[in-house]
Amino acid sequence: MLVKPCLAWHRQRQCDLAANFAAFALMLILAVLAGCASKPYQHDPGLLLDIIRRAEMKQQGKVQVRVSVPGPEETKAFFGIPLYDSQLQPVWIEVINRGDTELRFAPVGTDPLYVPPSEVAYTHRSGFSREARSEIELYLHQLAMPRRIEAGKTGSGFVFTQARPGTKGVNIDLFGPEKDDVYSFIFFVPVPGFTADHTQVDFDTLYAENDRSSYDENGLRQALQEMPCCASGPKGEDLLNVVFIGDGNYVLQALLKAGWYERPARDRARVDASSNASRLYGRIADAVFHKEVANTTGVGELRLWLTPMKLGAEPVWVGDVIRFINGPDGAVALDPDMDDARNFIMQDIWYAQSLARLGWLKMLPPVPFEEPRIDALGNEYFTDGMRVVLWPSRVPVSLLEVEYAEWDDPLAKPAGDGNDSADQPGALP
Amino acid sequence: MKHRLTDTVAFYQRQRRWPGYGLLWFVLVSLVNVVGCASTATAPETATSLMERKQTQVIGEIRVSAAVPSATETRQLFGGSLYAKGVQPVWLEIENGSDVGVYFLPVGTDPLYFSPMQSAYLASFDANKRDPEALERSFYQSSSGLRVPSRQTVSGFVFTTLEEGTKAFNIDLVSDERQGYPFTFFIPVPGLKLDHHEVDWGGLYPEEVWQHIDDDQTLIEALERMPCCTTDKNGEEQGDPLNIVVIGETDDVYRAFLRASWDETETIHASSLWKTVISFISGGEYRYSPVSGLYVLGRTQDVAFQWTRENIHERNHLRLWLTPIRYRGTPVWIGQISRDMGCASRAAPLPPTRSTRTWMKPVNTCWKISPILRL
Repeated sequence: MLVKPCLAWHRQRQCDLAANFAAFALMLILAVLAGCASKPYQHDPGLLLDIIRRAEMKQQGKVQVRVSVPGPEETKAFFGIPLYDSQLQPVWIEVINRGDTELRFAPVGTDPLYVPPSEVAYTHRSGFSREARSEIELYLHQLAMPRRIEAGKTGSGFVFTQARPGTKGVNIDLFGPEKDDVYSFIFFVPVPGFTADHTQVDFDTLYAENDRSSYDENGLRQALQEMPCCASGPKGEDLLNVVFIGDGNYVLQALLKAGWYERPARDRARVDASSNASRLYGRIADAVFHKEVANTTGVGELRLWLTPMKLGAEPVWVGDVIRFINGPDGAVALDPDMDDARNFIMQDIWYAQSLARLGWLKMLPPVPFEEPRIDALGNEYFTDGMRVVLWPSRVPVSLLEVEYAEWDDPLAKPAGDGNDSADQPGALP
Repeated sequence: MKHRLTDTVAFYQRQRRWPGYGLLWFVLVSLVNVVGCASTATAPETATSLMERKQTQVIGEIRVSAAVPSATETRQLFGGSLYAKGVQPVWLEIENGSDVGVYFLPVGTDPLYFSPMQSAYLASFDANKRDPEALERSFYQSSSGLRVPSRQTVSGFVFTTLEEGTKAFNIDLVSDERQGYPFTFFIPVPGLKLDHHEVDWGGLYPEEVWQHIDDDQTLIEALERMPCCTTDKNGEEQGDPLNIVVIGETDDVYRAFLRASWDETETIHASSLWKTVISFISGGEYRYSPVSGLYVLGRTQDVAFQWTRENIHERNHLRLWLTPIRYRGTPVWIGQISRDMGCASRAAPLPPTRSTRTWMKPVNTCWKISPILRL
């Protein structure tokens, strides 16, 4: 439209108009581009005081560590760039080294995929003027957590980690010059702007004291076998295939440490209003957790209910753990192999060094692949009928220190119906 | 089995017909087939070939055998292009000769492992002619379990995240008496042409050139005499600083970086160039892409590793050269490590003359997985 009239030289007036329009459009584009690229760098360093003020503190020997995590809005104002939009979450760390030797901080221990400040500045340079870009780079560099904290000194700064929803589990590893000179801290830091669904439940008033039963181990085992196998839904039942025994905070910390994240509180009301939700004790789950699995092609979901049972004074929780397979357009499909989902969370807690004790309990007869059951939403599933019982630990437990409860024996993978040779476990397809 | 999984698969199969791009796909697939030289072996032949390559390790009364099928073998065994979906089956056989049961923990092999049904779902993209239920059943039955009872042998596949080149993985077994059996396998996977396979390590230096050093100070002085930086082919223009030194036998060096999730590098050939071009255009992650040659000691790097983050533009590069120095009998390597942040590349910030110091990123990584003995 702009070129064609100019080719017809005899239509000079039309050509002039077109040329003028082209020049105007070009100038407008240049002006917009110049405006975009000349944005000054604006940030509010004063917010650091607010971030530090709510920091959580822990101490080991002569080493004191404080940690705080700014929320999305706070981060945008303090750094002048919307880091959460890029799935980056800054973590403020302070190490006070009152010992006699230098300590080395390893950010890989906090997040193996942490991003150095120079790269954060580089990937957020768009739209800023040349001077502003230098300012951002310098600002982030100055705010970075130092790698070395000399004896008698304090080191503080930010590590730019991968963002995750909900309470932030932060691991801090510090190394001294000697082999055994290792300090490992773990924090669970609330993030402003996020409210977890379980904070909406008043666990103290869920049951009247008369309704709660305290058992010894044999009594609890029997009570768990007698309780419903499943949570009821409109089309079927959701299998309750996992039990946690322990304080709610330990359960929460074990799950956070294993990389599971909380559900936002706003989702709770939506699920509660839905007729599709499965219920146990007449209510929807008290807490829901998710975790991306299978290299992000799937999602694990754990729904937990506080039961009226106790083992001594320890609360008992039952849950339904499943895996979803990501489908097209955000749709998901249920992975019908319930045992794989159950085994995954058991291993996950084990490898997070948060498992003190492990047991197995027969819940219902095996549901074979060929004769599946129906869940609350009408999906089919199969299972060996076992429930895993997990005792989360407050302190780290190594892989070989986990105790085994002598309840039922865990099952090897069940064989098929034996009709053909490829039906046996492990057979080459 | 009728459930939402198969419904979803059917949806995908309908979507996969690509009516508007048929010709383009025909050309692409033809090219890939020409480059890849697709094999026509049958599934039983493939299974036999796979078993012939299996590696076996024994700790106490536990024997573990492992094998990793290549992309072609996986397609022949499972009927779908699992490699194209980022899934790599690992075959295991665990023989428990002890008096107590043991747990096999697949999370120790790969925390991101795929469930059998999820793998069946991903394989179904290329398995139009197979019955989805039969496919799911086949995957389910071929997967390994979690328990190996006393005096029994269990075998099956674990569906892991794809690692071509050399597959490095752990097999963690814990007995009911809390005895640990940690196995580590490094299994070459057919299909890639790797740079370090083409180096004649024995012929790099004549015997009289080797320096044998036994004390730290002499080593530091020898390293300070090394070039500060990489150069161009003529040795004239100085490039990136040589900012890392690694001391270790060749296999130990490979394994340290492989266990820390670094990928090996392909040589330049038709297939690798094609994959690089496609990855560059599409923003994909061709993790084994050939890297440009930088010069030190008169030659390009002996081995290169890379660590891809989001895509081919964002990766860490490590190039290593074997030096003619042995420290207490162990080879000394000098290297250059940099982190690409997009189109631009930025080398590590340490002064180039401090070549005995390492940039923190690889040290951090190795440190966490503990093959590093001394820092």
